[in-house]
Amino acid sequence: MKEGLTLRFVRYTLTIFLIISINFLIPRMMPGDPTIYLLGEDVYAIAPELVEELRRSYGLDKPLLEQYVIYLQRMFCGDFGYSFSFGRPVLEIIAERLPTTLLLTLPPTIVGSLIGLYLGTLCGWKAERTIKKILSTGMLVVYSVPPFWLGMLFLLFFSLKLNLFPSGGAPSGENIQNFVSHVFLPFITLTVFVASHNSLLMRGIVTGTSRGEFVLTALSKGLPYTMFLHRHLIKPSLPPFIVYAAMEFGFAFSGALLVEIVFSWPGLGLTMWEAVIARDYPLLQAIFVFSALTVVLANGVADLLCVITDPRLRRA
Amino acid sequence: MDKKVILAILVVVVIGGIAYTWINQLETLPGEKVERTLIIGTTMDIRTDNMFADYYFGIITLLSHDRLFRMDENGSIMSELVEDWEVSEDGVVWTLRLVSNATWHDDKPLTAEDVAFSINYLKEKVPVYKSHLRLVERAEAVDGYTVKVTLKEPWFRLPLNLMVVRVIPKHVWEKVDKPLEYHDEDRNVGSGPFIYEGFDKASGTIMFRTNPEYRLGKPSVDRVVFKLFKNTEAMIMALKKGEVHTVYHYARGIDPVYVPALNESGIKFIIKPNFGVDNNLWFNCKKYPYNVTEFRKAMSFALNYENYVKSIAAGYAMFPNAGWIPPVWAHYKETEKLHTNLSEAMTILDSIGFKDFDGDGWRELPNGSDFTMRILFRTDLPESSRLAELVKRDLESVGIKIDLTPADSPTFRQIVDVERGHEAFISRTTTWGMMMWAGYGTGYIDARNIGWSNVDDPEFQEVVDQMLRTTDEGNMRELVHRLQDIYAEKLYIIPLYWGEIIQPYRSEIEGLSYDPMYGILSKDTWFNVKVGS
Repeated sequence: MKEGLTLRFVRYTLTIFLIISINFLIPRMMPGDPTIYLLGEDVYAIAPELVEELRRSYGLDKPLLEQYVIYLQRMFCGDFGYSFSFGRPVLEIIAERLPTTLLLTLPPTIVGSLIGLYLGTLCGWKAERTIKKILSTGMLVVYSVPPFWLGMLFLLFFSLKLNLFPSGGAPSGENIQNFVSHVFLPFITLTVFVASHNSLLMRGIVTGTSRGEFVLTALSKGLPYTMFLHRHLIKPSLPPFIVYAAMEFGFAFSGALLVEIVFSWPGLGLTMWEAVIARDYPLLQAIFVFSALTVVLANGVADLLCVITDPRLRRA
Repeated sequence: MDKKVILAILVVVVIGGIAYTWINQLETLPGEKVERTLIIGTTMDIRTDNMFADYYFGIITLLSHDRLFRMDENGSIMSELVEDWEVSEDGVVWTLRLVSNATWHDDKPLTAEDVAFSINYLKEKVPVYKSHLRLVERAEAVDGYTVKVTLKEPWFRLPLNLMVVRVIPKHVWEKVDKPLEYHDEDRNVGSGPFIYEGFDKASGTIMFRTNPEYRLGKPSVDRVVFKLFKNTEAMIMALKKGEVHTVYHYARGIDPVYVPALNESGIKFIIKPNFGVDNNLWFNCKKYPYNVTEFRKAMSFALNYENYVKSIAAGYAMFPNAGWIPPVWAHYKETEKLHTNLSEAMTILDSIGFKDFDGDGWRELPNGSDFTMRILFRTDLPESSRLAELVKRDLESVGIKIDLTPADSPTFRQIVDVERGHEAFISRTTTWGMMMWAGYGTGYIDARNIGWSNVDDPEFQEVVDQMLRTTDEGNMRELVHRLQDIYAEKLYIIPLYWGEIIQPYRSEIEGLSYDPMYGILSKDTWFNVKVGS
């Protein structure tokens, strides 16, 4: 057990180092120059000396290796640098946008995972029933629809046709109505999407689990349905679900780009996209590193949870 | 159990619906019922409220910052903070006399010291102005309301470049060494008709309130709110349902494909001729075979202009002339109308040796080697990909093999501006762009400037040099006519259509004005626009 944990720790540390290094290289391999954003399209071409001056001021004229060493040194000191395109320190931007991101992604991830877990279990047990087949098909249809398109449909119907909700933006201020009206549509869009693929995943797992002999034994003991469901169907099906759900929690921190675009929601996904467009290396690197760390962390938590929920893994 | 779950979901949905409707009746969205608030939707990518760090925020500071000169609805230059001016005979010293009743939003008077400071400070500290003001040697205050601007060489287009300069208060900025990183409260103190209120990044709104002390009187609306959208469809929905009164994007109207749906919703439109050219096929005139005039002519005959006008501009456009400059400009000269003639295109290609030697259906170079024309198109311009497909189809119909390459803005700039490695591409020109260098699009063509066409043809450059020097209107007219003849004859660039700007607005508002450079963010708008409750 102890050795296993140590091995995992080493593995994760190596993964993080690799991610940090790749994060440095990828933005710099993209064509385009970050100074374009600062100079504007009409000036960039006619003032090469300004381009050079700006590149110097942001340290972009240094050799790549030197830039990499500076990047590592700063990162280990917690300094993620200064965003060219926002004109502010990177950490300040992330700190500002993270709560908005989590407001968008975390509740749907939690609610969607729980709905998916429960609905998938119900559909997986005695899956041949017509109502369950209809439910599963419905979930498959929802899962096949891109979330941004689902968001556009919701906007069209609830915002334009019924005029119940605004057409975009995150809530601001303490007005409850303002809060609900801005959060509702993105919440429903993401929840429906997360629930659909979680339920399909859980349905598959439960269908397999329900063939186990212990299930027959549990049924033959005459256990009440609810107890049977929780103790003998959901519990043994949990480990693969936990791994998947944990990944989703990790990704929740990096935002939901397409849904953020549809609902003009200023989250980290959108920030990352804006950083790509502006070739804002420091911001891009910081968001990549942050997202990767949360996914790695979520994986680690998932490993631990699996060990806790599955005695066989503890013994292994 | 299944039934219980379904029942529970239904109960939650019904209770949620009732609660929401109840809350909805209790309160209204902030700003919705505020009278005389003009709400403008925009998809411009605004990230921060520092006008020097954010290009698009800089555009909307037209509300809070007066300029020295501005443009009227017809594209003529008008004075704003400058009352009158004179130029020395050698064209090197400009004396600007300022209005004496302008004040800053913090009630301090705006003087010649502020204007001289603005010119010197921006030229020294803000990258974009280093280019705009590159020929300015220095500016100095002669007295309280007179500024002397000394140039490095004669430059008769100075007022044009001063049109983009925001005059800033010396007492705020003189202590700031890095203007792009300045975020203090007073960063947006201006002298314009509106006072900057704030940027709510969560809800994506930027607010301005009226300046009651403005020297030209109080604007006709109390507040102007910009609502930011990240996708055009959501913004169009917001316009239809009345969440915004109108929409805005620098140097661009809406895509004509939205017009029919907006028409059905009772949306009104301002239709104006575009001073820029919406879409052009550009060639790198230093690369073979794009440096061959006959080849470019053949390409012009292969293009189906009618299709572009109908399918891309939805009829809100004119067939272009070979002389490129749209008729809305002064000194426009009627040149040959561009038209489709496939047999002529093929005859020219045959005559210059571009033939299908190996019978594979594509024309090869005269030496028999394969030829593929690589056309770059911009993914940041919404209609560009559709148009690129049409252009590809047209050119392939005369046997030219086309490779379409999409590029986002930085990639496009890298290839076209830095490396000048492009062969051909599709892109627009803006009003400001058409005025750069010697004007009439010369900045885009001349290899010594932006030079997208990379032209160093002595005949063309001689005309440009004369245009840069001349102060005589009659001479200028002659030169611009000659320039259009050169454009028509050499076809460095092929305009695909001359489009119109479509500016939609809701019927609750009236009195929007439109200037060719900044659209509805025109000074006249703020004193004429009326917003119904």
